[in-house]
Amino acid sequence: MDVVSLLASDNLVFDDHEGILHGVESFSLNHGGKGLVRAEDHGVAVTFLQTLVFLYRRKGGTIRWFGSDIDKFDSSNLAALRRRIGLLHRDSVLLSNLSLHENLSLGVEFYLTDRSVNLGRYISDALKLVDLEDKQHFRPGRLSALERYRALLIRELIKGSEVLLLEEPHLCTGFSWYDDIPVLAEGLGLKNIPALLVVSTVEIADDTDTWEIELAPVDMEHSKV
Amino acid sequence: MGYFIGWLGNRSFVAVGLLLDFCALPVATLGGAWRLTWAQWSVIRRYFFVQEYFTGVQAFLLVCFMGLLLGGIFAIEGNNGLEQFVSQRALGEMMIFVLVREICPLLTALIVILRSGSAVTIELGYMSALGEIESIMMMGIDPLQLLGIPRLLGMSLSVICLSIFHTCVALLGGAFIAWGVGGVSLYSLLGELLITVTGIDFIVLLAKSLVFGISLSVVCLYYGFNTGSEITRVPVQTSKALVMSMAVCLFWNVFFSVLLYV
Repeated sequence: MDVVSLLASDNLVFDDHEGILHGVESFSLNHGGKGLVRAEDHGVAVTFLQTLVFLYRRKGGTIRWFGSDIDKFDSSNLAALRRRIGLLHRDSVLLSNLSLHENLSLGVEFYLTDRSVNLGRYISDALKLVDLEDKQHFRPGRLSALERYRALLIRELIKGSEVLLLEEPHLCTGFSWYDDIPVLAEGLGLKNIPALLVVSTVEIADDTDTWEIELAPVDMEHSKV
Repeated sequence: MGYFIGWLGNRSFVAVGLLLDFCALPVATLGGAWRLTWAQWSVIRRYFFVQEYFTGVQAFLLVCFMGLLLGGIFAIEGNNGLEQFVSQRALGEMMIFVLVREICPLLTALIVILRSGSAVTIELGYMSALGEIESIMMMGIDPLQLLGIPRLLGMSLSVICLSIFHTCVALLGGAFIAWGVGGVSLYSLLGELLITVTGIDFIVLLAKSLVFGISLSVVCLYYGFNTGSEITRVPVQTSKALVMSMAVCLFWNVFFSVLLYV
Protein backbone atom coordinates (compact mmCIF):
# COMPACT_ATOMS: atom_id res chain seq x y z
CA MET A 1 0.00 0.00 0.00
CA ASP A 2 1.32 3.45 -0.93
CA VAL A 3 1.94 5.82 1.93
CA VAL A 4 0.38 9.18 1.12
CA SER A 5 2.84 12.02 1.70
CA LEU A 6 1.73 14.87 3.90
CA LEU A 7 3.25 17.25 1.41
CA ALA A 8 4.48 16.54 -2.09
CA SER A 9 5.57 18.95 -4.76
CA ASP A 10 6.79 18.58 -8.33
CA ASN A 11 8.88 21.21 -10.09
CA LEU A 12 7.46 24.06 -8.07
CA VAL A 13 8.19 27.51 -9.52
CA PHE A 14 7.39 30.73 -7.71
CA ASP A 15 8.02 34.46 -7.92
CA ASP A 16 10.07 36.28 -5.28
CA HIS A 17 8.05 39.55 -5.75
CA GLU A 18 10.94 41.14 -7.63
CA GLY A 19 10.28 39.33 -10.85
CA ILE A 20 12.88 36.61 -10.31
CA LEU A 21 11.57 33.09 -10.54
CA HIS A 22 12.82 30.38 -8.21
CA GLY A 23 12.24 26.70 -8.39
CA VAL A 24 12.44 23.53 -6.39
CA GLU A 25 12.78 20.05 -7.74
CA SER A 26 10.38 17.35 -6.58
CA PHE A 27 10.24 16.65 -2.87
CA SER A 28 7.88 15.10 -0.37
CA LEU A 29 7.42 15.27 3.38
CA ASN A 30 6.18 12.20 5.21
CA HIS A 31 4.95 11.52 8.72
CA GLY A 32 7.68 12.24 11.23
CA GLY A 33 10.02 13.57 8.53
CA LYS A 34 12.09 16.72 8.54
CA GLY A 35 13.16 18.78 5.59
CA LEU A 36 15.63 21.62 5.53
CA VAL A 37 15.22 24.47 3.08
CA ARG A 38 18.44 26.17 2.10
CA ALA A 39 18.40 29.44 0.24
CA GLU A 40 20.90 32.22 -0.28
CA ASP A 41 18.08 34.68 0.22
CA HIS A 42 15.86 34.08 3.24
CA GLY A 43 13.12 36.24 1.77
CA VAL A 44 12.87 33.72 -1.06
CA ALA A 45 12.68 30.86 1.43
CA VAL A 46 9.84 32.54 3.31
CA THR A 47 7.99 33.15 0.03
CA PHE A 48 8.51 29.45 -0.71
CA LEU A 49 6.80 28.51 2.57
CA GLN A 50 3.98 30.96 1.87
CA THR A 51 3.58 29.54 -1.63
CA LEU A 52 3.23 26.04 -0.19
CA VAL A 53 0.17 27.12 1.80
CA PHE A 54 -1.24 29.09 -1.14
CA LEU A 55 -0.75 32.51 0.39
CA TYR A 56 1.02 33.28 -2.87
CA ARG A 57 0.17 31.81 -6.22
CA ARG A 58 2.89 29.72 -7.78
CA LYS A 59 4.02 30.10 -11.37
CA GLY A 60 4.27 26.43 -12.12
CA GLY A 61 4.45 22.89 -10.80
CA THR A 62 2.15 21.03 -8.43
CA ILE A 63 1.56 20.97 -4.68
CA ARG A 64 -0.28 18.14 -2.96
CA TRP A 65 -1.26 18.37 0.69
CA PHE A 66 -2.44 15.22 2.45
CA GLY A 67 -2.79 13.55 -0.92
CA SER A 68 -4.99 16.23 -2.52
CA ASP A 69 -4.05 18.67 -5.25
CA ILE A 70 -4.18 22.20 -3.83
CA ASP A 71 -5.68 23.51 -7.09
CA LYS A 72 -8.88 21.58 -6.40
CA PHE A 73 -9.48 23.28 -3.06
CA ASP A 74 -12.17 25.95 -2.78
CA SER A 75 -11.85 28.78 -0.23
CA SER A 76 -13.43 26.86 2.66
CA ASN A 77 -11.34 23.76 1.98
CA LEU A 78 -8.27 25.96 1.74
CA ALA A 79 -9.08 27.54 5.11
CA ALA A 80 -9.49 24.09 6.64
CA LEU A 81 -6.20 22.99 5.06
CA ARG A 82 -4.30 25.97 6.46
CA ARG A 83 -5.64 25.11 9.88
CA ARG A 84 -3.78 21.79 9.68
CA ILE A 85 -0.49 23.54 8.89
CA GLY A 86 1.58 25.66 11.25
CA LEU A 87 3.54 28.49 9.63
CA LEU A 88 6.00 30.66 11.50
CA HIS A 89 8.42 33.06 9.86
CA ARG A 90 10.01 36.43 10.54
CA ASP A 91 6.98 38.37 9.26
CA SER A 92 4.40 36.36 11.21
CA VAL A 93 2.38 38.62 13.47
CA LEU A 94 -0.23 38.55 16.18
CA LEU A 95 -3.36 40.64 15.63
CA SER A 96 -2.48 44.00 17.15
CA ASN A 97 -5.96 44.89 18.41
CA LEU A 98 -6.40 41.68 20.38
CA SER A 99 -4.78 40.57 23.61
CA LEU A 100 -2.41 37.62 23.62
CA HIS A 101 -5.17 35.42 25.03
CA GLU A 102 -7.65 36.56 22.37
CA ASN A 103 -5.05 36.02 19.65
CA LEU A 104 -4.63 32.42 20.67
CA SER A 105 -8.28 31.69 21.34
CA LEU A 106 -9.64 33.16 18.09
CA GLY A 107 -8.54 30.32 15.81
CA VAL A 108 -9.54 27.65 18.35
CA GLU A 109 -12.91 29.24 19.13
CA PHE A 110 -13.76 29.51 15.45
CA TYR A 111 -13.63 25.74 15.14
CA LEU A 112 -14.97 24.83 18.57
CA THR A 113 -17.45 21.98 18.38
CA ASP A 114 -17.88 21.25 22.07
CA ARG A 115 -19.40 24.10 24.10
CA SER A 116 -18.38 22.51 27.36
CA VAL A 117 -14.68 23.01 26.66
CA ASN A 118 -13.07 25.52 29.02
CA LEU A 119 -11.28 27.52 26.34
CA GLY A 120 -9.85 30.09 28.75
CA ARG A 121 -8.21 27.39 30.82
CA TYR A 122 -6.86 25.65 27.72
CA ILE A 123 -5.24 28.84 26.44
CA SER A 124 -3.79 29.68 29.85
CA ASP A 125 -2.29 26.21 30.13
CA ALA A 126 -0.80 26.53 26.66
CA LEU A 127 0.71 29.92 27.51
CA LYS A 128 2.15 28.47 30.68
CA LEU A 129 4.30 26.17 28.53
CA VAL A 130 6.15 29.21 27.18
CA ASP A 131 6.06 31.25 30.42
CA LEU A 132 3.60 33.76 29.05
CA GLU A 133 0.67 33.00 31.31
CA ASP A 134 1.17 36.24 33.26
CA LYS A 135 1.06 38.28 30.07
CA GLN A 136 -2.02 36.76 28.49
CA HIS A 137 -3.99 40.01 28.71
CA PHE A 138 -1.19 42.06 27.15
CA ARG A 139 -1.55 43.33 23.63
CA PRO A 140 1.26 42.26 21.25
CA GLY A 141 2.82 45.72 21.41
CA ARG A 142 3.73 45.15 25.05
CA LEU A 143 5.57 41.89 24.38
CA SER A 144 9.22 41.47 23.46
CA ALA A 145 10.10 40.05 20.04
CA LEU A 146 11.04 36.72 21.63
CA GLU A 147 7.74 36.57 23.53
CA ARG A 148 5.79 37.38 20.39
CA TYR A 149 7.45 34.58 18.42
CA ARG A 150 6.89 32.14 21.28
CA ALA A 151 3.24 33.12 21.37
CA LEU A 152 3.05 32.64 17.60
CA LEU A 153 4.62 29.19 17.91
CA ILE A 154 2.08 28.23 20.56
CA ARG A 155 -0.72 29.65 18.41
CA GLU A 156 0.36 27.40 15.55
CA LEU A 157 0.58 24.39 17.84
CA ILE A 158 -2.74 24.77 19.69
CA LYS A 159 -4.72 24.74 16.49
CA GLY A 160 -3.57 21.13 16.13
CA SER A 161 -1.12 21.58 13.26
CA GLU A 162 -0.14 18.34 11.59
CA VAL A 163 2.86 19.86 9.82
CA LEU A 164 5.06 22.80 10.78
CA LEU A 165 6.71 25.18 8.32
CA LEU A 166 9.21 27.20 10.33
CA GLU A 167 11.87 29.76 9.56
CA GLU A 168 14.83 29.57 11.92
CA PRO A 169 12.74 28.46 14.91
CA HIS A 170 15.75 28.50 17.22
CA LEU A 171 16.70 32.07 16.40
CA CYS A 172 13.10 33.33 16.47
CA THR A 173 11.81 31.63 19.60
CA GLY A 174 14.93 30.57 21.47
CA PHE A 175 13.59 27.01 21.41
CA SER A 176 15.63 24.25 19.84
CA TRP A 177 13.80 22.22 17.25
CA TYR A 178 15.33 19.01 18.53
CA ASP A 179 14.85 19.46 22.27
CA ASP A 180 12.31 22.10 23.15
CA ILE A 181 9.70 22.24 20.38
CA PRO A 182 8.89 18.50 20.47
CA VAL A 183 8.36 18.83 24.23
CA LEU A 184 6.05 21.80 23.68
CA ALA A 185 4.15 19.89 21.01
CA GLU A 186 3.80 16.85 23.25
CA GLY A 187 2.50 19.10 26.00
CA LEU A 188 -0.32 19.97 23.63
CA GLY A 189 -0.92 16.40 22.53
CA LEU A 190 1.05 16.51 19.27
CA LYS A 191 3.63 13.79 18.76
CA ASN A 192 6.38 13.36 16.21
CA ILE A 193 5.22 16.35 14.20
CA PRO A 194 6.89 16.65 10.77
CA ALA A 195 8.43 19.93 9.72
CA LEU A 196 10.00 21.90 6.94
CA LEU A 197 12.65 24.20 8.38
CA VAL A 198 14.28 27.15 6.72
CA VAL A 199 17.85 27.30 8.00
CA SER A 200 20.89 29.32 7.17
CA THR A 201 23.73 27.94 9.28
CA VAL A 202 25.61 24.86 8.18
CA GLU A 203 25.96 23.71 11.80
CA ILE A 204 22.23 23.31 12.17
CA ALA A 205 21.94 21.59 8.83
CA ASP A 206 24.79 19.18 9.55
CA ASP A 207 23.41 18.37 12.94
CA THR A 208 20.36 16.65 11.54
CA ASP A 209 19.46 13.42 9.98
CA THR A 210 17.20 14.92 7.35
CA TRP A 211 16.97 15.73 3.67
CA GLU A 212 17.54 19.14 2.16
CA ILE A 213 16.03 21.14 -0.64
CA GLU A 214 17.78 23.94 -2.38
CA LEU A 215 15.94 26.91 -3.83
CA ALA A 216 17.45 28.00 -7.11
CA PRO A 217 16.69 30.64 -9.73
CA VAL A 218 14.77 29.29 -12.68
CA ASP A 219 15.26 29.87 -16.36
CA MET A 220 11.65 29.67 -17.52
CA GLU A 221 12.53 30.00 -21.17
CA HIS A 222 14.43 26.74 -21.10
CA SER A 223 12.29 25.26 -18.27
CA LYS A 224 15.38 24.53 -16.21
CA VAL A 225 15.95 24.75 -12.48
CA MET B 1 -6.75 58.39 -32.75
CA GLY B 2 -5.58 54.77 -32.58
CA TYR B 3 -3.85 55.51 -29.30
CA PHE B 4 -7.04 57.03 -27.89
CA ILE B 5 -9.15 54.03 -28.93
CA GLY B 6 -6.56 51.71 -27.40
CA TRP B 7 -6.58 53.70 -24.17
CA LEU B 8 -10.39 53.75 -24.13
CA GLY B 9 -10.53 49.99 -24.69
CA ASN B 10 -8.03 49.39 -21.94
CA ARG B 11 -9.91 51.58 -19.47
CA SER B 12 -13.18 49.87 -20.41
CA PHE B 13 -11.71 46.47 -19.64
CA VAL B 14 -10.38 47.76 -16.30
CA ALA B 15 -13.78 49.26 -15.43
CA VAL B 16 -15.65 46.06 -16.32
CA GLY B 17 -13.14 44.01 -14.31
CA LEU B 18 -13.61 46.31 -11.31
CA LEU B 19 -17.38 46.10 -11.62
CA LEU B 20 -17.24 42.30 -11.71
CA ASP B 21 -14.95 42.32 -8.66
CA PHE B 22 -17.43 44.52 -6.79
CA CYS B 23 -20.23 42.10 -7.67
CA ALA B 24 -18.17 39.06 -6.71
CA LEU B 25 -17.14 40.34 -3.29
CA PRO B 26 -20.55 40.20 -1.53
CA VAL B 27 -21.24 36.85 -3.19
CA ALA B 28 -17.93 35.45 -1.95
CA THR B 29 -18.44 37.02 1.48
CA LEU B 30 -22.00 35.92 2.10
CA GLY B 31 -21.98 32.86 -0.16
CA GLY B 32 -20.35 30.60 2.40
CA ALA B 33 -22.26 32.06 5.36
CA TRP B 34 -24.79 29.24 5.41
CA ARG B 35 -21.98 26.77 6.12
CA LEU B 36 -20.82 28.57 9.25
CA THR B 37 -21.22 26.77 12.55
CA TRP B 38 -22.72 28.27 15.72
CA ALA B 39 -19.20 28.83 17.09
CA GLN B 40 -18.19 30.72 13.96
CA TRP B 41 -21.38 32.80 14.02
CA SER B 42 -20.80 33.67 17.67
CA VAL B 43 -17.33 35.03 16.81
CA ILE B 44 -18.66 36.92 13.77
CA ARG B 45 -21.57 38.27 15.83
CA ARG B 46 -19.12 39.88 18.25
CA TYR B 47 -17.35 41.67 15.40
CA PHE B 48 -20.74 42.65 13.95
CA PHE B 49 -21.79 44.35 17.20
CA VAL B 50 -18.48 46.23 17.34
CA GLN B 51 -19.01 47.45 13.76
CA GLU B 52 -22.65 48.33 14.45
CA TYR B 53 -21.64 50.27 17.55
CA PHE B 54 -18.96 52.22 15.69
CA THR B 55 -20.89 52.93 12.50
CA GLY B 56 -24.41 53.18 13.86
CA VAL B 57 -24.47 54.12 17.54
CA GLN B 58 -21.45 56.43 17.65
CA ALA B 59 -22.60 58.28 14.53
CA PHE B 60 -26.16 58.71 15.82
CA LEU B 61 -25.72 62.16 17.38
CA LEU B 62 -23.70 63.43 14.42
CA VAL B 63 -26.38 62.29 11.98
CA CYS B 64 -29.14 63.83 14.11
CA PHE B 65 -27.23 67.11 14.29
CA MET B 66 -26.69 67.11 10.53
CA GLY B 67 -30.36 66.30 10.03
CA LEU B 68 -31.38 69.22 12.22
CA LEU B 69 -29.12 71.58 10.29
CA LEU B 70 -30.37 70.25 6.97
CA GLY B 71 -33.99 70.56 7.99
CA GLY B 72 -33.32 74.07 9.31
CA ILE B 73 -31.66 75.22 6.10
CA PHE B 74 -34.47 73.75 4.06
CA ALA B 75 -37.19 75.31 6.19
CA ILE B 76 -35.59 78.76 6.24
CA GLU B 77 -34.85 78.72 2.52
CA GLY B 78 -38.28 77.35 1.74
CA ASN B 79 -40.05 79.84 3.94
CA ASN B 80 -38.06 82.97 3.16
CA GLY B 81 -35.89 82.57 0.10
CA LEU B 82 -38.48 80.70 -1.93
CA GLU B 83 -41.63 82.20 -0.48
CA GLN B 84 -42.40 83.96 -3.71
CA PHE B 85 -42.33 80.62 -5.53
CA VAL B 86 -43.86 78.18 -3.10
CA SER B 87 -46.77 78.19 -0.70
CA GLN B 88 -46.74 76.66 2.78
CA ARG B 89 -48.55 73.64 1.38
CA ALA B 90 -45.85 73.26 -1.26
CA LEU B 91 -43.16 73.58 1.43
CA GLY B 92 -44.40 70.39 3.09
CA GLU B 93 -44.47 68.56 -0.23
CA MET B 94 -41.01 69.79 -1.13
CA MET B 95 -39.63 68.66 2.21
CA ILE B 96 -41.01 65.17 1.68
CA PHE B 97 -39.84 64.86 -1.91
CA VAL B 98 -36.41 66.36 -1.47
CA LEU B 99 -35.48 65.32 2.06
CA VAL B 100 -37.04 61.85 2.30
CA ARG B 101 -36.41 60.66 -1.21
CA GLU B 102 -33.19 62.40 -2.14
CA ILE B 103 -31.02 64.26 0.32
CA CYS B 104 -31.34 62.36 3.62
CA PRO B 105 -30.34 58.88 2.39
CA LEU B 106 -27.55 60.36 0.26
CA LEU B 107 -26.18 62.59 3.02
CA THR B 108 -26.33 59.71 5.51
CA ALA B 109 -24.38 57.54 3.09
CA LEU B 110 -21.79 60.31 2.68
CA ILE B 111 -21.43 60.64 6.46
CA VAL B 112 -20.95 56.86 6.78
CA ILE B 113 -18.42 56.85 3.91
CA LEU B 114 -16.36 59.62 5.48
CA ARG B 115 -16.60 58.29 9.01
CA SER B 116 -16.71 54.49 8.76
CA GLY B 117 -15.79 53.72 5.16
CA SER B 118 -12.45 55.41 5.58
CA ALA B 119 -11.87 53.65 8.91
CA VAL B 120 -12.71 50.23 7.48
CA THR B 121 -10.44 50.72 4.45
CA ILE B 122 -7.55 51.95 6.59
CA GLU B 123 -8.00 49.15 9.13
CA LEU B 124 -8.12 46.41 6.50
CA GLY B 125 -5.29 48.09 4.57
CA TYR B 126 -3.02 48.06 7.59
CA MET B 127 -4.02 44.50 8.43
CA SER B 128 -3.17 43.50 4.90
CA ALA B 129 0.14 45.37 4.80
CA LEU B 130 1.26 44.19 8.24
CA GLY B 131 0.51 40.53 7.56
CA GLU B 132 -2.46 40.27 9.92
CA ILE B 133 -4.72 39.01 7.12
CA GLU B 134 -2.19 36.22 6.51
CA SER B 135 -2.28 35.47 10.22
CA ILE B 136 -6.05 35.09 10.11
CA MET B 137 -5.78 32.85 7.06
CA MET B 138 -3.25 30.64 8.81
CA MET B 139 -5.67 30.23 11.72
CA GLY B 140 -7.88 28.51 9.17
CA ILE B 141 -10.28 31.43 9.02
CA ASP B 142 -11.46 32.99 5.78
CA PRO B 143 -10.85 36.76 6.25
CA LEU B 144 -13.91 37.48 4.14
CA GLN B 145 -15.99 35.71 6.77
CA LEU B 146 -14.31 37.09 9.88
CA LEU B 147 -13.75 40.65 8.66
CA GLY B 148 -16.08 40.92 5.67
CA ILE B 149 -19.42 39.65 6.96
CA PRO B 150 -19.59 41.82 10.12
CA ARG B 151 -18.57 44.95 8.25
CA LEU B 152 -20.86 44.35 5.29
CA LEU B 153 -23.89 43.63 7.47
CA GLY B 154 -23.02 46.17 10.16
CA MET B 155 -22.47 49.07 7.78
CA SER B 156 -25.53 48.24 5.65
CA LEU B 157 -27.82 48.02 8.67
CA SER B 158 -26.33 51.19 10.13
CA VAL B 159 -26.95 53.17 6.95
CA ILE B 160 -30.62 52.07 6.96
CA CYS B 161 -31.16 52.98 10.64
CA LEU B 162 -29.24 56.25 10.40
CA SER B 163 -31.14 57.28 7.25
CA ILE B 164 -34.46 56.80 9.05
CA PHE B 165 -33.30 58.84 12.06
CA HIS B 166 -31.73 61.45 9.80
CA THR B 167 -34.96 61.87 7.85
CA CYS B 168 -37.15 62.07 10.96
CA VAL B 169 -34.89 64.67 12.59
CA ALA B 170 -34.62 66.68 9.35
CA LEU B 171 -38.41 66.79 8.90
CA LEU B 172 -39.29 67.51 12.53
CA GLY B 173 -36.34 69.84 13.04
CA GLY B 174 -37.17 71.65 9.81
CA ALA B 175 -40.78 72.07 10.88
CA PHE B 176 -39.78 73.41 14.30
CA ILE B 177 -37.23 75.81 12.83
CA ALA B 178 -39.74 77.02 10.24
CA TRP B 179 -42.15 77.62 13.10
CA GLY B 180 -39.59 79.27 15.37
CA VAL B 181 -37.75 81.41 12.82
CA GLY B 182 -40.24 81.90 10.03
CA GLY B 183 -43.44 82.04 12.03
CA VAL B 184 -45.01 79.24 10.02
CA SER B 185 -47.87 77.43 11.71
CA LEU B 186 -46.31 74.30 13.23
CA TYR B 187 -49.62 72.51 13.41
CA SER B 188 -50.45 73.01 9.76
CA LEU B 189 -46.91 72.24 8.54
CA LEU B 190 -46.75 68.98 10.50
CA GLY B 191 -50.22 68.11 9.24
CA GLU B 192 -49.06 68.85 5.71
CA LEU B 193 -46.05 66.59 6.14
CA LEU B 194 -48.21 63.77 7.47
CA ILE B 195 -50.70 64.08 4.63
CA THR B 196 -48.01 64.27 1.96
CA VAL B 197 -45.80 61.38 3.07
CA THR B 198 -46.76 58.04 1.52
CA GLY B 199 -45.66 54.44 1.76
CA ILE B 200 -43.74 54.86 -1.48
CA ASP B 201 -41.56 57.56 0.12
CA PHE B 202 -40.71 55.19 2.95
CA ILE B 203 -39.97 52.32 0.55
CA VAL B 204 -37.73 54.57 -1.56
CA LEU B 205 -35.89 55.68 1.59
CA LEU B 206 -35.35 52.08 2.72
CA ALA B 207 -34.37 50.81 -0.74
CA LYS B 208 -31.89 53.61 -1.30
CA SER B 209 -30.36 53.20 2.15
CA LEU B 210 -29.98 49.47 1.68
CA VAL B 211 -28.35 49.83 -1.74
CA PHE B 212 -26.09 52.67 -0.53
CA GLY B 213 -25.10 50.66 2.55
CA ILE B 214 -24.21 47.52 0.62
CA SER B 215 -22.41 49.44 -2.12
CA LEU B 216 -20.25 51.59 0.09
CA SER B 217 -19.29 48.70 2.36
CA VAL B 218 -18.42 46.49 -0.63
CA VAL B 219 -16.25 49.23 -2.17
CA CYS B 220 -14.42 49.93 1.11
CA LEU B 221 -13.89 46.22 1.81
CA TYR B 222 -12.61 45.70 -1.72
CA TYR B 223 -10.01 48.45 -1.54
CA GLY B 224 -9.03 47.51 2.02
CA PHE B 225 -8.48 43.84 1.22
CA ASN B 226 -6.58 44.70 -1.96
CA THR B 227 -3.99 46.92 -0.33
CA GLY B 228 -1.20 44.37 -0.65
CA SER B 229 1.97 44.27 1.39
CA GLU B 230 3.16 47.86 0.96
CA ILE B 231 2.10 50.17 3.74
CA THR B 232 2.38 53.19 1.44
CA ARG B 233 -0.60 51.79 -0.49
CA VAL B 234 -2.93 52.37 2.48
CA PRO B 235 -3.62 56.09 1.86
CA VAL B 236 -3.87 55.48 -1.89
CA GLN B 237 -6.43 52.72 -1.40
CA THR B 238 -8.35 54.79 1.16
CA SER B 239 -8.56 57.72 -1.21
CA LYS B 240 -9.75 55.44 -4.02
CA ALA B 241 -12.31 53.79 -1.75
CA LEU B 242 -13.83 57.10 -0.63
CA VAL B 243 -14.04 58.57 -4.11
CA MET B 244 -15.43 55.35 -5.59
CA SER B 245 -17.97 54.94 -2.76
CA MET B 246 -19.27 58.45 -3.33
CA ALA B 247 -19.41 57.91 -7.09
CA VAL B 248 -21.27 54.62 -6.66
CA CYS B 249 -23.81 56.17 -4.25
CA LEU B 250 -24.40 59.09 -6.64
CA PHE B 251 -24.84 56.63 -9.49
CA TRP B 252 -27.47 54.68 -7.52
CA ASN B 253 -29.20 57.94 -6.59
CA VAL B 254 -29.54 58.88 -10.25
CA PHE B 255 -30.61 55.31 -11.05
CA PHE B 256 -33.42 55.49 -8.48
CA SER B 257 -34.50 58.92 -9.74
CA VAL B 258 -34.71 57.61 -13.29
CA LEU B 259 -36.65 54.60 -12.06
CA LEU B 260 -39.13 56.78 -10.17
CA TYR B 261 -39.64 59.79 -12.35
CA VAL B 262 -38.78 58.88 -15.94
